[in-house]
Amino acid sequence: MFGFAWLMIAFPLVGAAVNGFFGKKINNRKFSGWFGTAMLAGSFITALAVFFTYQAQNFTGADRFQEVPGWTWIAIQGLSEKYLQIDFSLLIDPLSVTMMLFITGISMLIHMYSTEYMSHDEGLPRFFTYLNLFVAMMLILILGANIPMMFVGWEGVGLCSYLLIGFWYRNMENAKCGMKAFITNRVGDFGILIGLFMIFQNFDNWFRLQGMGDASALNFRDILLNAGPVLQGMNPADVLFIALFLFLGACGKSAQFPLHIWLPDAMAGPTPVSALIHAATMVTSGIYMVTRLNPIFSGNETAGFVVACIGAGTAFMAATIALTQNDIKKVLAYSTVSQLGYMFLACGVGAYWVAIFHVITHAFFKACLFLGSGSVIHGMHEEQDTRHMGGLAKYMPVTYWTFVISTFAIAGIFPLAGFFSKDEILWQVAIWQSKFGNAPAMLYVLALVTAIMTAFYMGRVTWKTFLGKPRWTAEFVKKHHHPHESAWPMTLPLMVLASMAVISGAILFTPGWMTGGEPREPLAHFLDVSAHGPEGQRLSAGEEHAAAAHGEHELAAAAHGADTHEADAEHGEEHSAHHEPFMLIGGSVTSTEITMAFGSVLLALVMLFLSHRRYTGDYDPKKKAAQKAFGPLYAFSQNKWYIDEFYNNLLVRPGVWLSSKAWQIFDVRFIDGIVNGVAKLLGGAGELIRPVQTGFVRNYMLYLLAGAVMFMLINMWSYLVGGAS
Amino acid sequence: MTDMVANSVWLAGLLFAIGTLGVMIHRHPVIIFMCIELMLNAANLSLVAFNRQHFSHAWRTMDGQIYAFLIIVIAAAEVAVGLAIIVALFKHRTRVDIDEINFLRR
Repeated sequence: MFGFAWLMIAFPLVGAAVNGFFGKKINNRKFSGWFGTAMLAGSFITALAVFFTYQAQNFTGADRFQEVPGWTWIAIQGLSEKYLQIDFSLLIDPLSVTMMLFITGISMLIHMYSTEYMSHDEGLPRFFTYLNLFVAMMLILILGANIPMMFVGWEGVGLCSYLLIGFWYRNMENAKCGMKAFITNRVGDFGILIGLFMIFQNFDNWFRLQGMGDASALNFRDILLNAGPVLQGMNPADVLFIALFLFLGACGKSAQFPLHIWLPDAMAGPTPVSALIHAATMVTSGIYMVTRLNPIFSGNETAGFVVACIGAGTAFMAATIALTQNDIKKVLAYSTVSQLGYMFLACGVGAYWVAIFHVITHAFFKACLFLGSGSVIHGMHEEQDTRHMGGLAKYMPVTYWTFVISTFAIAGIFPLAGFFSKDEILWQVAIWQSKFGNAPAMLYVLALVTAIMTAFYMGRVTWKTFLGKPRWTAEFVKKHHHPHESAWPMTLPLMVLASMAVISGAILFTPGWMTGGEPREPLAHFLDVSAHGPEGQRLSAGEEHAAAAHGEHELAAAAHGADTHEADAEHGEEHSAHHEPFMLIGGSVTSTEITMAFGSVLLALVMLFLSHRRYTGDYDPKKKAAQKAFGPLYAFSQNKWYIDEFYNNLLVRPGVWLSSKAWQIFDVRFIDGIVNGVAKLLGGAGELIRPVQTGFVRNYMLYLLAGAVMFMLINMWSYLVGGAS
Repeated sequence: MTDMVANSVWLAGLLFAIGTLGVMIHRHPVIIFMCIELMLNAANLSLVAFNRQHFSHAWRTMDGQIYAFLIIVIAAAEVAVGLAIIVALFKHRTRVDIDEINFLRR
């Protein structure tokens, strides 16, 4: 039924092949760019078709996991009778459908944008090769039906990320940034591999014991359908280890503390790459992975707690750093790290669908922000420092307005997309039932402070760039007079993304207090099965009722035995019947929710206003007012909490020292000694025999004769000796 | 009969020695070639002679004579190539002295 889903991956692969093999020969920039874009358009249309086909079928229960058979990829005859077979096939389920829709859509827009942004670049075919390849890999990651396929995609997107960060490789700095990203991700990959091995081991054991010969411990469908009993039978410490190792991998890919350091440096790549890979899609694959394997994270409360703490901590840390950065892309990069932290916070408290919700809304407004910054950089002729901008609104109206809309969206201003997703995360934290005492309250406060800072730094970067007095460098003014608005292939994606940043939140979710009853949660309903924890604990209560009402609950119930939520479903007039927030304002849950939501909106508005006051008018970065006012705090933030320095001193320098010693001792003396020794030996031997070659034919003839005579003598030896005796 | 074979082998040995000596003492490539031909013919002669000696009712093969033909053909081919090389050399450096042609050594 979904066989045509393969087209989605085939289109970008064809694009990559054509541009990669023939791009230089064709030597037509327009063709390279638009061909890549057209392939992505095909991919997007396929994704839409898959979505509507899926919707029309109204799958329930285990049928919601639709596998699209491909071919046998790996087949191993095990020691016992069991045959390990891994198919290269796709899994169409609500989670992958959701992911692929926005990935292909945003990719298409960003490809289109790149045709203009990269139009002056020499390596344009190469750029589109990598970009198309990236999309193919990302789709393999999210559509793969089993763990190895996900891992192929996981590494594939890492490779494309590396290639694109170092796209302008002639600059050593860019190449170094690419290496940093790659090496940091290796640390995470170590974690994810260990986690995946442990999953395989435990599930495989269980399937053998149960005699479930058909089930594969690598297959997501089998893992998810049997997660409940398997995890219950496992040692809790093992579950915790699996979750933490997987989370280490997610930290690497999704730039969470302590592996977040690569993402800001990844901004060395072209801006569309930052928008597509390092903001909208690839960095969310960690959240995808956690959501995909969510029973494991829900199966151990400590694991969830760690994820939530790291998420909230990273969100907070990145926001403080973003406050003082001057490079427009650096601000957005730290903002991305911060928003990813929010998503992990949502995962940690068990609200997986909210994490996916924020992934989607964030993809829209952050892609829009990055593309806007790209438009600014393009218009300012490669200027990235906001201190040298200002007053651009007049010259780049489209960029300005879309940027402002996205800024308001990320700040969480009602009714833009960010408001719905971010406040739902805050709310889910508030109603989180944790065994760790005050954890929900503390995480809530941390997340709220982060939200406030987000509003301020986003306001700062926006106003500083677009308003105030022009602070352009004299050189720029002399050469170009004033910045220019970008052409339509760049502004059209901006407008589309900005409008999505306005509406996507309200479409996908409306909280109960707004509808005056049950919350409207199409995304949550759609995601129900694939984002289901073993205890069904991820959801808000209203969601739970809806699931039961739709009959989708059967799966969870069948897998986990009877659970208590069934009973709750009967008296479900009040939203959040069994999850009380950590504090009640105004006596009821609903009034608490409203107060919290509008409290944060109000704070965000205040921050946007304050930043507007500060960074327009007679603002002048040369005065260094903030540096003077905050002193060491400012330096701490500007220097990114000195984490890079910490790693440099703790890991990089000893590593470099060790490898240079190893090079001097082992390589130079030992390995080179062997190689050079052999060469010298052969050379000496050659020198020794060289005089034989005199160049005189008669000499050679003599040797020949001598040889023949010797041969004869040897042959006749026995006759000669025999004759003598 | 055996006398004839022995005489032939002696003759072959003599021819071979003359050929070898000629190759070693002459400096002109064409003469060297002729000496090589002499050596090949000495080999042919002994092959034919031994074939004649061993040819009997028990062992009726003509291998030696066939080999002799083979060698004649090879010698002809070799001469064709060798003479071409000599002509090319002659065009190149007018005086063709085998001792001066040692540029492959360098």
